[in-house]
Amino acid sequence: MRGKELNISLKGRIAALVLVLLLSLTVLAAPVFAWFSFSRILASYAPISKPESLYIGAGHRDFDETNGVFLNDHFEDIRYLYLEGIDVHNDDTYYDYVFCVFGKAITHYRMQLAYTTNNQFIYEIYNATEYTAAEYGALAQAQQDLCVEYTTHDATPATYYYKATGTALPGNYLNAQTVGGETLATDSYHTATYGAYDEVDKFAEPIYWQTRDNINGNRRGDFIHYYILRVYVNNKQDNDRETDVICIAAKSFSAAS
Amino acid sequence: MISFEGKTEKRSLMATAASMGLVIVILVFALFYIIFGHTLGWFASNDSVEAEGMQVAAANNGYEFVVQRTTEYDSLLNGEPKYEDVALLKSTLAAAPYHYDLTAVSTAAASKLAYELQNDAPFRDDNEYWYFLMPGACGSMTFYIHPFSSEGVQANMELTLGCFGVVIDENDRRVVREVTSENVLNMLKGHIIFFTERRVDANDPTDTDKFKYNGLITDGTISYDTTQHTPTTMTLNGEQISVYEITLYWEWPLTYYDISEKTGNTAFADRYPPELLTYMNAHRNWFFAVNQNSNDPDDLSDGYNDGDQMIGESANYFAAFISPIV
Repeated sequence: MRGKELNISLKGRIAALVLVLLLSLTVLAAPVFAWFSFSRILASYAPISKPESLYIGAGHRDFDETNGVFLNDHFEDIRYLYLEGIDVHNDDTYYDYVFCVFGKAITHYRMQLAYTTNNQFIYEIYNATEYTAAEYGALAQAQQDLCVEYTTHDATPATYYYKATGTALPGNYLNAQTVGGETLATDSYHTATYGAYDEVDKFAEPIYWQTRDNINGNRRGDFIHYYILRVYVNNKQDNDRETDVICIAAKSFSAAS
Repeated sequence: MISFEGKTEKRSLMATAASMGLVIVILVFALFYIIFGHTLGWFASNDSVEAEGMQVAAANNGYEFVVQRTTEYDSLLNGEPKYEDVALLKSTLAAAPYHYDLTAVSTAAASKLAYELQNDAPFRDDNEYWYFLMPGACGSMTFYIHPFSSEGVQANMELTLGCFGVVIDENDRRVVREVTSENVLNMLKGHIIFFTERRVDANDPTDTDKFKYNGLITDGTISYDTTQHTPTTMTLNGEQISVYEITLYWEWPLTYYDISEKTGNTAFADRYPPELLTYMNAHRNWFFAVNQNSNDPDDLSDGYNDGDQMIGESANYFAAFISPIV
């Protein structure tokens, strides 16, 4: 190589010089070309809000307490919650109905009620304890009398019993007032409920209620909570076939609220 | 100037170059031409390279994309990332490799760029705005075409939708992976729909409920002829360049009923243009996870909700990809 280099003609030297110049120009130009040439594909990204799995069902759901997982996909649809058999002539002052709130990866939630006031019933929500038929059989008669029965609707129906525990969940009304001995909704949520429509009977204006405290779910897994909805007849004397609508909701809140 | 006719002379040139350690440099640049196809006649000492290069892109019909970056998804809240797993998403994008650097405004040194999708419908919680994609969300996606030549360019592009989910990998690490399930990817096409036009209410331009769309993108292709549009000027890497802005509008309709009841008979008669119903009927499995063959609106509503659920359970991040069709 060295020998060859020594033999380069003048023309060759000039050629080499020009080539070097050309190359150095290309080196300078290269980043500009590169800059124009790149960026052929774009990706525009955005986070997706994870759906919250929070549901209301009727009675029993198979659940592994130890591991915090549902044992199967079967749950009792909320349509099996029948608010039936309320007899205002009966001596009973209240009727109990079982329902449940279940979900996955929910930090906490609150229970909400919305109901019309034709019947002037009083509604309360209690935590409930579940008993299998065998556990129920072991209870004293007085305890058994406090239970409500629920039979599942899956392939092999089973009967469970639920009893309210403790006191009613504390909560707050958004819009309740007492007028002449009747509990009625104020008009503060009228627009939210009915919009501009204003020919609404005073008993059809729903009262909104929500639990005062957050109820803990299970941030890392499944959970199920049973509740008793207790309906007080509230001294109503007439079986006048009045109809009320009651909505039960469970609403999850972010951790900070 | 120098003559390249003589074979001997050429050989002596190459020998000189070799002795000066320049062959490597020549090869490197030859590689550039193979990849990017710029034909520079005066340097075309290798015919095959030149021919190959010309197939990729002629000098007068190429273009590049330019984007402007925002940093909402990098926000912190109480010292923690506001949007979970955004760092994992970025490391997945970086492996692709997409560049997502916050500081680099230009497209330099990046063949693939990642940036934030614009969301016009954040929800507010605890005095904090959250820019999550969810049913009911809508927004836009803006990028710029920068033609290489002043003669302009006919840009044919492909829009594809993808999503990324958090998984625990075989080493028990939490990672973000691109979702490959065909069902989920189909569901994206029916639930996060893209339009080329959006009108806002003149008196209330930010009210997302009053948006109206037209130009549904049904086959994932977008065509843009820069000669039919007026460019804007932007400064990129200290240089003034002419670019063409393209904005696409996306929406995740809240419910099936939003689609069925807010689709007009003509463009801009209602929220959605008439072709949305045609599109939905042609691709029922993109809209409804169950009850695809039902004609009962309640069944379809259930099916649409289940589709939302399927996306949400599978994906933590959504991405819209734009690539040129060559």
